[in-house]
Amino acid sequence: MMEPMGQNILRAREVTKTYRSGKLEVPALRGVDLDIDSGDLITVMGPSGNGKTTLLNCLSGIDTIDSGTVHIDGDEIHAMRDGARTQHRAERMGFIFQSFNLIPVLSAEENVEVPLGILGVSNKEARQRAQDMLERVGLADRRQNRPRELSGGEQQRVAIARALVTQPAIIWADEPTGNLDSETAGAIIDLLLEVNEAGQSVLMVTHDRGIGAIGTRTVHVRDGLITYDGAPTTDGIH
Amino acid sequence: MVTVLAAIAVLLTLPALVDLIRRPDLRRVGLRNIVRRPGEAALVVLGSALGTAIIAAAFIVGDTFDRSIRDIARTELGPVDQVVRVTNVDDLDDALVAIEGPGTIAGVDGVLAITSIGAALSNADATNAEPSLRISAVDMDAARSFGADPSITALADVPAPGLDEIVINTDTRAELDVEIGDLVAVYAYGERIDLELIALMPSEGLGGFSDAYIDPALLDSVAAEPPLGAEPPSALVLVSNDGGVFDSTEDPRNVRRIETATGDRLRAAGIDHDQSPQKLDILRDAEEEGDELTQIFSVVGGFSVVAGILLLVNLFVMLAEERKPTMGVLRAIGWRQGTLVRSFGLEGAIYAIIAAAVGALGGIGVGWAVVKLTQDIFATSGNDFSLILAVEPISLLQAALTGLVISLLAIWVTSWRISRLNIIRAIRDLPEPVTARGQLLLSVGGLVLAVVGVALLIGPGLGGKSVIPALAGPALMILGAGLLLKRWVRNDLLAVAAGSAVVLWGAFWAQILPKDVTTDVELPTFLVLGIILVAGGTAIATVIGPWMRRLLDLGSRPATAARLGLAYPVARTFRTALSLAMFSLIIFSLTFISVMSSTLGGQDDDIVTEISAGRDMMVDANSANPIATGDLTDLPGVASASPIIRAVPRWSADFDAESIEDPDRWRLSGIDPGFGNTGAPQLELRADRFATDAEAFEAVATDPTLVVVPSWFLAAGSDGVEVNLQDRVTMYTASGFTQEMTVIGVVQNDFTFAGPWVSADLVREQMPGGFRITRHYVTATADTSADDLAEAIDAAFVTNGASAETFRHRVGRFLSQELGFFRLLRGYLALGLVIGIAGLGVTLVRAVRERRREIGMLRSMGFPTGGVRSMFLTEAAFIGFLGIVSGAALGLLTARQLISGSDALDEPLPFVFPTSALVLVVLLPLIGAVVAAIVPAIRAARLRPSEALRLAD
Repeated sequence: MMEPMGQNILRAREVTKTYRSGKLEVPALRGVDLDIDSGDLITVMGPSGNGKTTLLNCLSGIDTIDSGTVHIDGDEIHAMRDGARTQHRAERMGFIFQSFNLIPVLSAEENVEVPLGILGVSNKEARQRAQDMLERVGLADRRQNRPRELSGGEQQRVAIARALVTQPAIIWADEPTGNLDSETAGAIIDLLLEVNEAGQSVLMVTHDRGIGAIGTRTVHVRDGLITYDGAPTTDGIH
Repeated sequence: MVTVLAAIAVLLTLPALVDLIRRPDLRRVGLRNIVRRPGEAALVVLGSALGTAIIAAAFIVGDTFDRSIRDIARTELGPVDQVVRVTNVDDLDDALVAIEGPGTIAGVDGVLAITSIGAALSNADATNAEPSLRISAVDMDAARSFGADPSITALADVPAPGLDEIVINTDTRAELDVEIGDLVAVYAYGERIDLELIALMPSEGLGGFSDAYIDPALLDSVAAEPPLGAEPPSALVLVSNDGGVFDSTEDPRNVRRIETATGDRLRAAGIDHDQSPQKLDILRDAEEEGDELTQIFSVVGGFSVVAGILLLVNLFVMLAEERKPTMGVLRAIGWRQGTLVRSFGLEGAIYAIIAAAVGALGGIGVGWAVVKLTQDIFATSGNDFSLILAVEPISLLQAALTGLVISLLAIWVTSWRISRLNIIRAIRDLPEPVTARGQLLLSVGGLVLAVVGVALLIGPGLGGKSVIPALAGPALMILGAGLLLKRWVRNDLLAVAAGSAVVLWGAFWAQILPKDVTTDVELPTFLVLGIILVAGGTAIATVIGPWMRRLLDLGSRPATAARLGLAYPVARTFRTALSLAMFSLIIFSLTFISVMSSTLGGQDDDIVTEISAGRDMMVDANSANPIATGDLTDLPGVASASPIIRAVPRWSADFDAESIEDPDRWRLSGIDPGFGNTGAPQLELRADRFATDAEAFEAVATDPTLVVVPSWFLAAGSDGVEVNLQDRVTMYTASGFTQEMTVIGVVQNDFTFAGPWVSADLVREQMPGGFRITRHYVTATADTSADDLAEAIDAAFVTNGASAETFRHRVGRFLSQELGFFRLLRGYLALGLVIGIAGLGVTLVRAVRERRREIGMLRSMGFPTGGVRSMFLTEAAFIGFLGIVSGAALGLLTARQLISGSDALDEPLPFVFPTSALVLVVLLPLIGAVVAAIVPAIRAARLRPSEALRLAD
């Protein structure tokens, strides 16, 4: 379900996150503030190991935070019980990862059906919607194939179809083109732009300066802090 | 055997040991993979160790029986190697002189004359009694120095009893609860004599050979005139060969030589006698019994061991799949295929070596438990045979080596198989495509299997009349044909077709193969049969998963967890098949044994009818003090009592088994005319000219040339030998009389140990000094309970050593021992179930690790923790359910066919469905499978999505 354009859908304040392994402590986020409005396409850039993926994980609620708040649609997601937070993700979010993370034993169509099944959509409707979505990403003729039988670009398009099929308010994309050649990457970005133009918010972590420049906003992350949040630019990243 | 196993183990271990020392890179990879996940490494070792433990336990059970039976040589014989029974007690001194001869027989270090009677003993007030003991008289000085080692006579410190004194052994003392100085009552030949207990002797050596010793003059006076039908004193000459208890029979040829020399001297002196090399016989029995039990437990345990092998292969296949990208990288940086194999082999060899050691030691515990349970079973069925736990280091070594070799073979073959990867595909985690060369190899393999199958069937199978190759041959032919057709036929259709063909063959082989191939079915046949059937059943079961998924698709509800739970086992056919087969094999064997057990247990009424001859009970008595028939019929509650004459002549027959000495001693039952009026034992085979079984028995009672024999008489039934109507049997008495007889009936169940049934008149005439009336078949009056009457008879005739037992009680006692043994086997098999359940748990633990990325993704998408749990539980339940159902169905089918529809057993039995046992066999493993999945399922559900995705990357 999409919100009216420009309405705030995520508000994060003073978010901190530290990874601990034995006595070793690595601060990943050190007091991050961020707002996402509906229709935003935010690209998150920064050097490796500086907290980009952690930011995505903490804001989306797939990782815990140490302090701060993350409100999505007015609800503090880290105050929710795990079940409610999980349900919230199922209803409001879609995820795209660099390594596709498709379920290898399911066909492309079945992979796309999974999030609909989680929402309790009937088998018949889920099948129809999955087919429509695969058609939209140009894979109508590959819907019976398993991930291993698809190219990297095709797998990522299946992953995008899976992320979009529930029409989520926010799409979280972590290096969605990281494993793809430039031509395929371009096609994937076009797809995300198309989705964004339809009103869905996208937060995309990327290393690619060219892709970083296409968003409505760019956020630069360095040493666990947001050092820039504004119009797309690649200045001062490295 | 140990040497061969050790050589193979060294060959298989050596490459790993060399690498461990000389290849630091392989050592690092192998060792760090082990310590990286110690919990999972421990589970791999546990699965493999259980298999070794089962093998070790089988050996320990065999060793225990061997040692326990061998111990009889120590406790009941000591220095005695040969027992010479002199027919006429008056010839005893002459026999001793004859054997001693002018010079000692070479290899003999002692000869002792002894006279024995059977008697009952009690304490002074007859509150504690032992009805059937051997009391002997001997020259105590000679007895103490009998043989080269007086200590093994157990009489070294025992004084010679005087005329009113007695010496008893410690076992008898415990039964009578008497002390030195107390009076002990001896009942023999109708008299009671009170004697003072002057010493106790250990129940060993000569102290075990005879339960009590009295003065020779006293024994002579007691046994001066034995009543008719009572056994006169036995005059025995005991011969001790050079050596102690066990080493005196090390060379059986020497024992036979001494026996022959002894016999020659006695014959030269004209002395009638019987000889038996008792110690050699006991030790040989011990070895045979031990080997037989080792085989039983090895075969039954074999199901678990095969399940363990499947688990091991499954684990290594999973391990390889998980590490495939790493292996690809290692290949890319220069590791050869052989290096990968050795890397895996090194890791596996470490698991295998630890598992072999742990398993062998764990086997002691398992073996101890089996021995303890067996002893309990013996105790509840009235068998006082005492088991002594024996743990032979050589057996433990053999078990450890067997486990090690099996594990290493599985590891090396799997390692070789998984190392054959394409570097790029491995790094990118892509499946290996089916190449034309691969297809060709598959077809060639199929052809080879089919040819081997044909060769096995025709050669050793039908040609050599050996059932295992005849059974395995066609199964291999079907498998080979399946592989040949694989390139043209759809996999699922092929699996169903080939699987069904194998199952049908496994179910009906006994009807299809010629009878001369199937008559001698040995125990290992069932292991081979189980493997064949389970292979077929598993092939069919693997097709069921996709059908179930399609069914889920037909429903309107999404059932996402169930669909995902099925998706993995359906997609990974090979791994699923291994897990399924592992479960199925164990359930098959459990079901099979349950059916056998319930069928046997359901026979009690039929067997009682078969053996009771229309009476209620049999009453046995002490041979020196038999019960007079009149005294029995005078007892209130006795309606009738039929005396049965017992004697032990030698026999030969035209159907003698090879294992039988010719002629062999066999106890007979002699009956008088009129025996059949009350009823007769049921005959399995009866000559046509007799309308009823009773008529046949009446004919035997009146005609000395006719005989009814049990089906296992003279070891018929083994060695492929069968006894049939009109077979000729010859009876030989000690006096040289021979009587030819014709078999007119065959008794199936000889639970009363009646032996051959002949005319009592014949025995009385031809064995006047050799028969005893020690048995009666008794009928209770209508208003008397048979059980109560049995107790009353025991009480009334305690001094006769009366042992009254209703036929129902006797059958129940015998069956309870056999059923107890089946229970024991089921318990033993349950260890395999532990392997199956633990194996499923281990594979699911690894599955969680393998699927972290997918779990992380699912959780990110909003899949609830409960859904993740359900997904894994569904997977476990699915594999468990299919394995259990296929195993149970195959077990029922096979048992049904074997029991009721074939000649594989001695006689077809009515199939009894093991309802309650089957409920347990099905439910417990299913619960176990789900329980085994709980921990990995919870671990999977607890994974934080980000953590799962990060760790996976």
